[in-house]
Amino acid sequence: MSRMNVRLTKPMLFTWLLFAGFILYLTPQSVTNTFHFAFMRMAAPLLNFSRSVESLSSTVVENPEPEKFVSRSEYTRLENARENLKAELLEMRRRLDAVTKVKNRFPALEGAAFINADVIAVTHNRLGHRMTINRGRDDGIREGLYVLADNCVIGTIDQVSQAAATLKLMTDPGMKMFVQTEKGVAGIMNGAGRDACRVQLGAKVPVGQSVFAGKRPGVLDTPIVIGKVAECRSGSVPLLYELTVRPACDYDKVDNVSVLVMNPPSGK
Amino acid sequence: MRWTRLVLAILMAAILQVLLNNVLTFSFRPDLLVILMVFLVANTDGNWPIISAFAVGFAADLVAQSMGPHTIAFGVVGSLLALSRRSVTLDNPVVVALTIFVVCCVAGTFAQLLISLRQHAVAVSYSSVIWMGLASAVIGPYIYSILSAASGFLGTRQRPGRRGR
Repeated sequence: MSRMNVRLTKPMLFTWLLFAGFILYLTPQSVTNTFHFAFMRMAAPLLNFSRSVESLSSTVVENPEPEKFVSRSEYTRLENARENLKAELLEMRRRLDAVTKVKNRFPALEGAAFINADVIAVTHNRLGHRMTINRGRDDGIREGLYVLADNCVIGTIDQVSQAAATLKLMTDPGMKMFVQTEKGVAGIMNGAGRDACRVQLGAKVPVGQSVFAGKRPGVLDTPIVIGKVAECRSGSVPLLYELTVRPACDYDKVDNVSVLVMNPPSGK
Repeated sequence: MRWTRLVLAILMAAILQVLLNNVLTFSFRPDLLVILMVFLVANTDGNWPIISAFAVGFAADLVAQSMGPHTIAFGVVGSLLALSRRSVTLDNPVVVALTIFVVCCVAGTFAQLLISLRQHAVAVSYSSVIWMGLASAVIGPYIYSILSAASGFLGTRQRPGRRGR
């Protein structure tokens, strides 16, 4: 069969490629994610290797009195667990103080299911802060679910493919989450860079106090710690305080996460 | 120019860029894909500069997790750079650094504007684009010379000093 002899001029090639670029740009992200997930899966061995080298280099081995001291990561994990228990206790007290005298059991995370996943990569770039995990739609993961690591909320599921998912970290500029403090002051928190989040609240909050992901019935039935207040100053809006919140764990050192499913389908 | 080697080089640069983004916590980090694009546009003939620019843009989209904006931005800026090749030759390291800085700033801003048009939550951060451009301009000439040394592998045009054309 004779081959068609079509000469492709530069303007024609440019136009076609630009057209392809615009099709890609206008295609819904749920479709184009396939490319991204394929790339991440292909690059995963190299990225995992660099992560393990990085964590090895930052590990402090010496611990002269192991009965007195624990590692930093263990300390953070336990501290977060304590903060969660404190929040649960406060929630219990609030419910007991409520008008109803009926004993209302606190719906913590007993009925919830956790889907454990390994971290493929954590990406920080000028567009955002994301984490790719090795579980997807086939494992029951869907958009909007909360993701926990080291007993704290680190983000929510943003995009899902069949076998992988990307979560938006709390520090991602596009992240918006309903949060509350220990005293119940609530607000919407935004990501503000690699290791900070910002929230405007109507009350002054002391530095060091914990900030929790607020309750969202069906998605999160109990507050879970996100981070600690690092700075509290008067904001641009009168009567509002702008809080800088530092995440409760180091996202770059997280190796596996748990996706929280509050109402798992029966049989799973 | 060889297809397979071009794809391999772009993929390697994309993976290295992801690693760099993970390791370097500050905005002052080079954009390896911009440097690669400038090299490929300046050292290939025929339709290859345009193809390379769009292909590198596609890889930048893979890294940035937002498909389309970088393909368009890199494609347009790379094609404009290819048009200006007759008046500007990238033999001097200072010219290379300046070119990389300009390309990084223009393509980065263009891509960010396209992204902010689609995702309203993402604000355009010009300072990070400029810092990235500066870092790329500083390290760019060195990587450019390494790529020039590897032009035999990539199948790109070699410098006249090495092989007369």
